[in-house]
Amino acid sequence: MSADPGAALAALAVHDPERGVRTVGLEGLQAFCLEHGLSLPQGARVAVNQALMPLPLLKNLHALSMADQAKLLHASVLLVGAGGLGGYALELLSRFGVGRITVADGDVFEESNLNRQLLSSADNLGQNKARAGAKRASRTSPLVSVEALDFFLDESNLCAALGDVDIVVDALGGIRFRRALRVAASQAGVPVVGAAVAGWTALVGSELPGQTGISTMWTGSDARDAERVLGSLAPAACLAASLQAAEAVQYLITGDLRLAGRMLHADLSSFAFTLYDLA
Amino acid sequence: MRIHVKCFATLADHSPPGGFLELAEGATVQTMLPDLGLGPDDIKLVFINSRNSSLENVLADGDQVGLFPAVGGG
Repeated sequence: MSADPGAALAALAVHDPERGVRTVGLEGLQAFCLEHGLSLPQGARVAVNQALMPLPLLKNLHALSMADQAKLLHASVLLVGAGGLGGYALELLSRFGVGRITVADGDVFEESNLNRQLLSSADNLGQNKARAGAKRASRTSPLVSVEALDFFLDESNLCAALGDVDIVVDALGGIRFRRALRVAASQAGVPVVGAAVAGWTALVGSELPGQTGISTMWTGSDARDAERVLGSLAPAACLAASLQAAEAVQYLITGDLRLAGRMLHADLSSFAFTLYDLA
Repeated sequence: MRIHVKCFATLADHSPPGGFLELAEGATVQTMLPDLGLGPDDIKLVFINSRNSSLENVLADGDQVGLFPAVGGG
């Protein structure tokens, strides 16, 4: 074993003249991690710390800098919900290379999820959504670590789940629990990126600790949720989750939330996009 | 005065024809609701000119009002 793992990894790197960066492939990284007793996510962090770009993340350059990618690989996100929003959010956050993602959902897949939920399939009906997400991410994004919590978060376990988290992505369905999530996140000093959908409608907004924005929407009971009337369409869920992922990743890189105290409304029946001020 | 009104999601069918309502001076969002066939319980968020407002807000000529029900689907 080399005394300096970083130097050992650098010896495996290849120069990419087109992008002006040194890269390391998955196979080399796996061999390196095996030799040094590291997990692949740990190995990926060693690589970016040495300014070596793991090939699975190469196309994140140069929209992201090497330093940005290093921040993401060291970041931690709590994703609450692995359904319509959460499945796509998990896909995007893991493919971005967000190093540690905890995904929580106590629900199991049912047939009516198949019109929109990325993680659902005809052969995993009845299986837990969070575990299905972690399983998929382990195949698509081996450089990140995804932990599944196969139970619903509530006031009794939120505090533990929020420990050491940089940002929360609220991908919950329904209204009832969303305020409690914000209260706990606010107490933990963690911002929340939320979204909700109904039919062709997608809403996305962020809240800093102590700030009330989009969650103004979520008082009262689930009975008045427009989703119960309009259902939920795949493009609205996918778009809302994409916006959440972009917002969360930009926060992890820059520390700024573009939608803090605001709400972006997309009406995909008319292609109208409007920003509202809620702060 | 002329007010532009847009109702969203489950309320979309309540948007006035052409998108405009003619209202008397001093009208509020709440006093406008019967003209739309809506009641206060139908509304979760009110925006006037893209800013968070309430049912009690007095309207001015040319205001753009957006009305949302609760949307919570995930």
